[in-house]
Amino acid sequence: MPRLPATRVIDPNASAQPILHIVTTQPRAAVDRVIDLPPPGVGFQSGVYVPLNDVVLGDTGGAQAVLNGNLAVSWPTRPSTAH
Amino acid sequence: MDRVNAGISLSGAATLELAVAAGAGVSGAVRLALIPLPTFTVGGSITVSPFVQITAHVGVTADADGRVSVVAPFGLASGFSSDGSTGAGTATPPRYLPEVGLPDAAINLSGSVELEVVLALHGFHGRPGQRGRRARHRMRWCTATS
Repeated sequence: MPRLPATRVIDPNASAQPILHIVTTQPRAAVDRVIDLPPPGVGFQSGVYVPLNDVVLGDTGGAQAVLNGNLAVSWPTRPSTAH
Repeated sequence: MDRVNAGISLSGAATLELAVAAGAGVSGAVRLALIPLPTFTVGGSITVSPFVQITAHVGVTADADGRVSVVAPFGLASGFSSDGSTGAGTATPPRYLPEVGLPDAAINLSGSVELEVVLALHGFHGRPGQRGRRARHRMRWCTATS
């Protein structure tokens, strides 16, 4: 029977310290990827949506880590101002 | 001179799926280009130009092939006030509630995903860069499962 993925919520108040430290003796391949934004007019109103498709984070001896997903940000049409 | 206040809030969510191969031990940053938000005026004469930049810092190790997912809604706000002097501002704490799914296979996988959101407001009255406020929020969560 396949193992069903579970979900848990991480307490934001405890996020200052890692819950578990990463311990590895393997060399880590550091990468820095820059994602281009969609062309103007493609995003939704007062916001931006950025798909992340097969972003290779690094390669350790042929073992890759690949990121997929998306990022969406929106902001109010009217900012708060006072005078 | 009158006192003016200007602020802006952001709402968003990141949905990430990380696929790792056996033996992977990598870390990296995925940066989005600086996103200019619409400018607005406050006090009738001060133009405010907001910008936002988001970076996801990811580190992971795994001893077998597997996938792990993260869903992270977040919200934050930044602003500034000015009575004619240069530089003044406030920023509110970020709000976020990440949810981390366990890997789809029985593997030893550990890692972290850190979302860095920079919301900058620059207001100027005739001379760019006269007043500004930058709020940098680093929202971090980690998971380690087997």
